[in-house]
Amino acid sequence: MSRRISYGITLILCLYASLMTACSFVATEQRSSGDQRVLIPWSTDGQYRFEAVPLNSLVNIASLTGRSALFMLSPTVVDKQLAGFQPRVRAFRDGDGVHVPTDELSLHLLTLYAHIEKLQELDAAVGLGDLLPKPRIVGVEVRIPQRQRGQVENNALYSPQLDALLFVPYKGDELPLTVNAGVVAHEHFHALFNYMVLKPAKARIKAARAAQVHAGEEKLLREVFEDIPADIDRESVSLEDWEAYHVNLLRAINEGLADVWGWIYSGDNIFVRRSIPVVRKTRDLEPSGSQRLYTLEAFRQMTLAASIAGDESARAYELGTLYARAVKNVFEPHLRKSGRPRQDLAKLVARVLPKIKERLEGLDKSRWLKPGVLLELFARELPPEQRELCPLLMSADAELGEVGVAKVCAPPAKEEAP
Amino acid sequence: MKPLLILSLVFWSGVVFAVQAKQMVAAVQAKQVTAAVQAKQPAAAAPTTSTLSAGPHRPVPVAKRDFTALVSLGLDLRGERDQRQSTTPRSWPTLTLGLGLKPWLALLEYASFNESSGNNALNVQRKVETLMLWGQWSPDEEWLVQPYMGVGFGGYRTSAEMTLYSEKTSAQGQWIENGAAALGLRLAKLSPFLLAVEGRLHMNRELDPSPTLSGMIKLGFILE
Repeated sequence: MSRRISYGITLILCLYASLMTACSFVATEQRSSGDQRVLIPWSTDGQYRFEAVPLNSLVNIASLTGRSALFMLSPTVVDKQLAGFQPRVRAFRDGDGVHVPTDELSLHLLTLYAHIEKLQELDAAVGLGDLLPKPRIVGVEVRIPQRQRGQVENNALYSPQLDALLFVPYKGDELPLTVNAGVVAHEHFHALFNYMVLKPAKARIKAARAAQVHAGEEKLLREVFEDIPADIDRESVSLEDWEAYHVNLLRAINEGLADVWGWIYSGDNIFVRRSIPVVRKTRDLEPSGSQRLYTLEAFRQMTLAASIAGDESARAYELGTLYARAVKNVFEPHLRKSGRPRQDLAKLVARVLPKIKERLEGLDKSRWLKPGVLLELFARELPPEQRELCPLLMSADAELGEVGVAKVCAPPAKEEAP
Repeated sequence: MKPLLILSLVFWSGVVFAVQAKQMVAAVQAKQVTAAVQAKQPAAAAPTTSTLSAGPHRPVPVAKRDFTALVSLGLDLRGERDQRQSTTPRSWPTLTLGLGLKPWLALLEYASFNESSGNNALNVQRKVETLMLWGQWSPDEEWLVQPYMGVGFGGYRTSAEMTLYSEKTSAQGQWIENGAAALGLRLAKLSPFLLAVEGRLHMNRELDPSPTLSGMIKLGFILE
């Protein structure tokens, strides 16, 4: 080999070595911690637009590691816990230092993380900050095969068995569920309800069944993830009438309050429809005339018929939406008029939840809770400055006469001095 | 149609560039030869008394200056880690212009990659660009297949355009440092046409993984 070739090779190798060693800018991780801003679609009073949203708990953007949530991509269940890939987020920093996601999944993941962080801030603001374990476990692109065709699509659920939020693939052409503020808040609320009402009331009611608001998906989930405990998987027809009724009533309360929480967080009256347009009539929270709740007997007959037909949760959604509309339509005008934040209603919900648990614990099989119980509890827990809303709340109760309204809405008796 | 038009424009620009470069190289070489001849015969015009026994002119050894110019289009398949942690190849169309003096070649290279994802309501378009200056060396041998190696430095920039319903927003990152190294093989017998394959290694702080490996095929013109 000539000298020129030797010199050439040596020079190239030297340059190459310099490149490999001296380039300290080479890094596989974009390290970051706290107070990061991300450009994501954000809802303000139901209007979505791009915003640079600050994230306080995110430690590493590329691996989406933070104190608020732990993500798993296409997870499976190992030892009764969700396990899967930690997804990678692709993002860059613009001239203002804002992290900009560069693909669909990264956009979804960062938005979902932001919603979970802000929902935890809402929890803390209403006194529930220490209730749920952190980080929250979140499964995205969860594959749940359906018996006859493909996989479950366009849905989100909270699994009380795994204590995880699960998002199945979204194939629709509307707002994806993972960026839908109301939907994320709805599922987050199921976790609050599970921890505040269902777990403590386990002795009285089959708590896990009542938490299982997405019964169909949960059954399929159990077939795929064999490690999910199967001790709750009994056919509803084997439940006693009393128990089937209360399981469905609890589901309806759970669903209704989850919709209320979704509205409180997002300010969006139509958050379910934004992602799943077919539910327009059944899930919209917009004012739709004065709707009465079911009577005890009507709801009992409906749940009995539904459970015999094997469709356990359909009635829960119907009553749940009635609850959500009743609560939201009473409070929204009042909050707007008084200039109060929706967070005030969240505080009231946080006061009502322990009362639901108390009612459940006081149940025996000779007593039945009426569908109107939820609104009655709201009425009883109203703060003094909102007592004017009491008759409006109670007006939805089909079984409450004028005397009942007067009784429930009477100002709380002052304790007499001894 | 647009990519075809751009490719066509680049192709014909390359042809024009190659012809111009060849004429320039020929002119420079001719000038050098003339200068060398004149330097050897400074008094050729003056009459001498000496006999013309020196005989006919011998060829004058000229210091050969091997200018090289090239223009090429390439496709760089760069690996990129996807959200499932597996590496996916991404196709980067590349345009390169080069000029050099054998065995060295300086190259200016522009490459970009576009990707679109999402649905009608919410989608993201991502564009990544690299602009690099390469130093390339190849042994000055008359081989059928010419090996070469090079290192490059330059910039790497990402930009994105996001659409939410009817709202569009776009953001652009800053140019960040990008380094690369390459080993390649060129089919030398095809000159003035260029056909080469390269193995590459790219590094910068936004790449995942970094360094990233890539394989490239180049087609174009080379004048030497």
